[in-house]
Amino acid sequence: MIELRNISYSYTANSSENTVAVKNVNLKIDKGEFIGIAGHTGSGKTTVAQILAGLVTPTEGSILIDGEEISDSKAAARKLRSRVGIVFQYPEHQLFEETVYRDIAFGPKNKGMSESEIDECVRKSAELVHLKEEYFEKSPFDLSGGQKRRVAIAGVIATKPSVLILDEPAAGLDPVGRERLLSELHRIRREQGTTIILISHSMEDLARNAERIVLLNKGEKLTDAPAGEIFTNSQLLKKCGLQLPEITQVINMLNQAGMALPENIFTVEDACRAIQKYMEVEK
Amino acid sequence: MIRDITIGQYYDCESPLHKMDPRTKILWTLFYMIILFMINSVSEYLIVILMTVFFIKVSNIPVKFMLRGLKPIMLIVIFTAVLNLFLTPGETVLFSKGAFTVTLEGVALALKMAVRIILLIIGSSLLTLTTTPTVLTGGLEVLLSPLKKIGVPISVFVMMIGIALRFIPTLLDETDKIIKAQTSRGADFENGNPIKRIKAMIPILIPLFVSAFRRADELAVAMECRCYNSDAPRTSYRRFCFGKYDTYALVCGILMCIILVVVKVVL
Repeated sequence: MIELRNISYSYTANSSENTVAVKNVNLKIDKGEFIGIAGHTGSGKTTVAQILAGLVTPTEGSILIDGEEISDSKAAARKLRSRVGIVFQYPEHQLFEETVYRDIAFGPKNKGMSESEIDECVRKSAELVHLKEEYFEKSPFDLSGGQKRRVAIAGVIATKPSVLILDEPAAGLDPVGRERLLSELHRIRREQGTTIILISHSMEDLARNAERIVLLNKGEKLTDAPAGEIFTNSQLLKKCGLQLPEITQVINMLNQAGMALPENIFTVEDACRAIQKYMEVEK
Repeated sequence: MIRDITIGQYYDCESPLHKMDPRTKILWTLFYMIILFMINSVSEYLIVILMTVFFIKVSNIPVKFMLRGLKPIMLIVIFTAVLNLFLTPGETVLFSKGAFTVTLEGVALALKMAVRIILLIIGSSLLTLTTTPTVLTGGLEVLLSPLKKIGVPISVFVMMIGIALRFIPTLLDETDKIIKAQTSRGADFENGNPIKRIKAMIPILIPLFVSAFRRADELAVAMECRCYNSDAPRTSYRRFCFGKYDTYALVCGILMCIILVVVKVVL
């Protein structure tokens, strides 16, 4: 659906020399995928996300939308913006309206939807992030941190993007809030057919949710492979300054201590089941 | 656009200007402003322009970088020039149509005002570009310390300036992020009539104010946790030393100001 070909991005920071943020990245995104983007701080994750969202114009390379190359950078940005929604880190900092309802309606209004369409969109998006209607007339600034974040995410979903990018959406949330947010993402994907791109440091979150993971290191793409492949290759992860999910590390240690458990375990539930099965066989 | 704003920023490089005592630089900026507002003739302007070019050269800051910093204030320069162009009465009328009259004096004044504002911005940004905020506020505190005797709260004032300078880049980053977030939600900041564009600023300004207040609140708590008390006597580990170039520079500056005052008063 969206394809980046040999994309590079460099900028002139405070010093006179050019800083390269992204170098020769190729990336293809299809409808309904759940993609994870991982990498160390400064690896170019956020820049790639902003290029995909049409907010940053790459200095080199081409962008293809539906297989069609768009050479005019302004037209490309406009097309990308209409299709891709991006939830920045700490999205609650972008709230501004007097009521929750009006804040969620900001995006749909800009898109020129009719009153009834806007209303439907707002209610649907709020419902998707489990935001009750009783909050609609409250000021977003009176809500708790987790609720503010829900409002902000609903505000992006309301623009009906076909691709939704989330930059560390769970940062600063408690474990329960984290789980709920991630399961909401799956629901959005299931019900609206939205492609989800999750940017995260947390290998656990990526392992549990993403089907495909793109590893970035110093602005370059290192691999782009199914989650199972990446988490069995601890060498590769180490190269980017990342670690295996904690539970996979535990499994590896158990295997070294003489147990024979399968290597591709990335969640606590799977680990539980595998260990139980192993114990039963051993008995 | 946001990246173009260089006001109050420090440019890290090696140069004689960077090494100079902050007190000299602050005083010189003052002299420079006095000189700038006293000059009038074309030759005087040329001398000050040459002087400014010399300062930029000595500071080792790329000219391109300095010019980029001028972009955001171009609107003010053009606005001032246009107002002067049409509103200056004079004898030699060059062009007249309805309420608009352009005189030769108007053209001269418009040009002078534009050059004056540009020089003013370059001169004062040279101070912040070559001096880190901490050194700058340290120098300011020493220079203003005599006022403490008559009860002016100098350390509070200097602390405020330091915090303000420190937060310029932070708030610029924040603005950039908010603009991107709202653009992604379909906000349009580039098209439409002026009223529409001003209205489009609301989704940027409100989150920006909210975050500025939040940061201020957090900073106040953090300072209080470390027992900050504006009345407490404090010392600084920074010792400023006055080199011989500092003396030369100051003597030059004072002489130039005196000569200009004498010439202007006598004439």
